[in-house]
This record gives sequence, structure tokens and C-alpha cells, in this order.
Amino acid sequence: MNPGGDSAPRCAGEVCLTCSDSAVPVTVVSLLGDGLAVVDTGSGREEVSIALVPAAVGDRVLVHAGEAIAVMPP
Amino acid sequence: MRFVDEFRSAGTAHALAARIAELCEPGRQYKFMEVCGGHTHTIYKHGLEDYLPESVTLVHGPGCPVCVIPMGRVDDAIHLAAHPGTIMTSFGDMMRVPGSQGSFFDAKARGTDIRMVYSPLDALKIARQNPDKRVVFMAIGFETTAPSTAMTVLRASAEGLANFSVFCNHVTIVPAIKAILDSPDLRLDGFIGPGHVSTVIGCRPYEFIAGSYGKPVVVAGFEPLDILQSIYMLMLQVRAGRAEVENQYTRVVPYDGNRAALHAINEVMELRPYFEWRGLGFISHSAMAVRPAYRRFDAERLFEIPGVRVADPKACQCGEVLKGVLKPWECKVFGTACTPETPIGTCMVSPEGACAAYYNFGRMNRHRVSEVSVS
Repeated sequence: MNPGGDSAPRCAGEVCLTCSDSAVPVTVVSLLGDGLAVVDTGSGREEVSIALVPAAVGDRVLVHAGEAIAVMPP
Repeated sequence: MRFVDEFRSAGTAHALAARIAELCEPGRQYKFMEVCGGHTHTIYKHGLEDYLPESVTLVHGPGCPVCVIPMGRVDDAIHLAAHPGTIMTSFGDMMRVPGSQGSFFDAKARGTDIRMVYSPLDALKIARQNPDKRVVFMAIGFETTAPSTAMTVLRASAEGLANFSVFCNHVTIVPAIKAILDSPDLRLDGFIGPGHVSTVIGCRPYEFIAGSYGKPVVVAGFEPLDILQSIYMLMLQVRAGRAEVENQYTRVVPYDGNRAALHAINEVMELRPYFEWRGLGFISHSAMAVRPAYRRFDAERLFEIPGVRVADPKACQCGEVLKGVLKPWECKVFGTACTPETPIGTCMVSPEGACAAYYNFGRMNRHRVSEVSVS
């Protein structure tokens, strides 16, 4: 979704962030505490909240607007 | 879902399409609404309508949160952002939505401090980095993004962050579906239910559609085969005279949703008595506001907001498109005055808007040609 990695945020055009319904599933890489985690998006790493799902390192989660809302099956 | 190819196999798609065709009774038309803009996007990106028999038509629903934001709300947000010492933060999709005085991008060009973020967590960071500014997050979306906004408010509250607030425009999908069901000018045979909204709210909220309105609902995933399989499941129900809520997207959607996420939303937000939707008008209990307990984070309480009401542009027929009465290419300004670069209506703004999906994937040509040949 953000091929530029750390470059400034921009609308990717292909997918609407607000809904981001074609969200690429991401993998939890490490837990940061306070419900936050580093995830691998396939094109880089991002910090997201996993406070609402029972996610562990290695789990694949579905993230909407920086918040994981579901754990996906392996 | 390990490999995306499994969900995009053309062979399986043709096989499913053949089974859908076998279920069609001669001389009967079947009309299904895909509620979610993400589904609209998949349907046009992969040309799924080309797979379907001619008697099966897909109608695009109101499930694009950007597309249903009324102009007045954009004007309000720009007015709010223009307060001295304010930083407005917004998702990229929202930036191009036209208000009566232009979009966020236009306001930004005039010097208003509006910044794009990927998540409200980024807005929180901006607030921490700018303690002398008031940072507002333009919160929009259905129940997919509401948990993120709610958690961000809870985080800001736990931190005691004094310069962060949200301008809450979250909407709920079920009242909009009900408004469509009650609309006299539309006859539908069933619904392709939203996938990721349902990861949060579960499938139970749709049971009234089957129970009270007698229409089948199949909650669907976002890959092409997910959607074709969902149409097949809808056809099976229609042929058997059944009306049930079924879940095609079981790999992600639990029937009861995500209780922690619902709890977070309920903690921070409450239903508004009514909210204006572009094209659909005012719908009761269809949107959320920040609860009084979190008033410190509610931009509507912290800022003076004009509460602008603007009629949609006369030429724009987004309302009919959102209700599924008109196909995007039937709108008078589609592809001429209204394009993704210079949108008049919001359906042309977001990639998940029905008009933008038609425009970007060239669907209007086929329909226009066939339309001309008919007339």
C-alpha cells in the first residue's frame, strides 16, 4: 500500500484507506507493549495497534487504519 | 488464504459462473446489491460482470464511507481546520472530496495546515510532536475504521494528551441498508454483505434483512472467487425460496464479530439521533458521535463549527447511484464534467466509489455501446 516505505503518506490510488477493504494481511514481527506491535506488510515494517485482537508474534492480522481487527487463519 | 492465486483461478471462476447460470430461471431477472465499496472495486477490477449471465445484475450500494459524506460536512471540517494553531489530519481519500468551497487539498493550497495520515495513531504522534498546536483527526468510515478511532481516543485519554481531538463522522452500515430496503424505487433479490465491517459487527445485525424483509444476505470476502461464490450462494437461496444470513467469508468473519472492538466503539461513541448521507438524505441513528465522557477529545465540542448544509450539485446524481437506481454511466456528468481528477460527486473520488470504479476500469464503454445499440 505504501511502496515508498517511509516516504510521506499519500493516497495509493488503488485502494481506499478509509475502507482499505483489499487490505494486505500483515504479519506480527514483534510486540512493543501497550497494545502496539511491529508488523511486516510485505513491503516494509509498520507500527500498528493489536489491542483488540489476541495476536502473537508470527500471527497474520487484518489491519484497518492502523488497528488490527481480526486474526487470520494460518 | 496462503496464495492469492487460489482465489483468482479463472477455471474455478468459469465453473462457478456456469453453476450460477444453471440456477437462473428463463425470463427472470436477478438483482443483487453489493453493499461494500471494496466489493464494487473487486467486481470492476476483475471484470466479474462479464462472467455472469445477463439475467444477473449487480447493483452498487452505499458502502463507501468517503462517498456518503455530504458537502456540508467537508465545509465544516475545512472551517474547523482554519482555526489558528490547528493541524487537521485526514486519510488520503478524504483529501479530494469536494465541499462547496473546494476540497481539503484546495484548503491546503490556500495555507490551511491539513496533513495526510495512514492511521489515527499517526495523528496522535503529530499531536505529541506539536504540543502548542491543536491536532484534529478527521474520523470517517464504517465499523471497520471506528475501532481505530475509538482506540486512539482511549490512548489519548490514558496519556492525558490535551491537544488531540477527533471530528467524528463515523457511520453505521445497517441503517443505510434499511433505508435502501425501504426505498420504493428499488427491487432487490438479495445482498452481498460487507466483509470487513462484519469482522467487527458480526453477521447478526443483518438477520432482520432475512427475517423482516425476506431477502437473503451472504457476507463475502474480497477476492474474485469470494464474490462469485457468494452470488452462487445467493442464487441457491433464491431458487430454494430461502432467506437467510450466510457467511461465505468464514476465514475472517466470526458470526459474532469482534467483541473487544465493539466494546471500544461503545465506550467512546454513541449513536447520533440522525445524520445526513450524501444522496440518501437524513437517516436515523446512522452515525456516531463522541460520548460526553470523552468530550475533551470531541472536536465538535471544542471548536465552533458552523454546521453547514449544502445541497448536492444539481448535475450530480450520486444519490441515485448510491441507491442503485442509476448505473454510474447513466449520470449526466459521468466521464465528462465529472472525472477522478475533477470530481463533482463523491462517487468519483474514492477508488471504491462506483463511478471511479467504472471510470478507471473502462466499464462505461461496453455499457454505453450496448445502450446506444438498444436505443
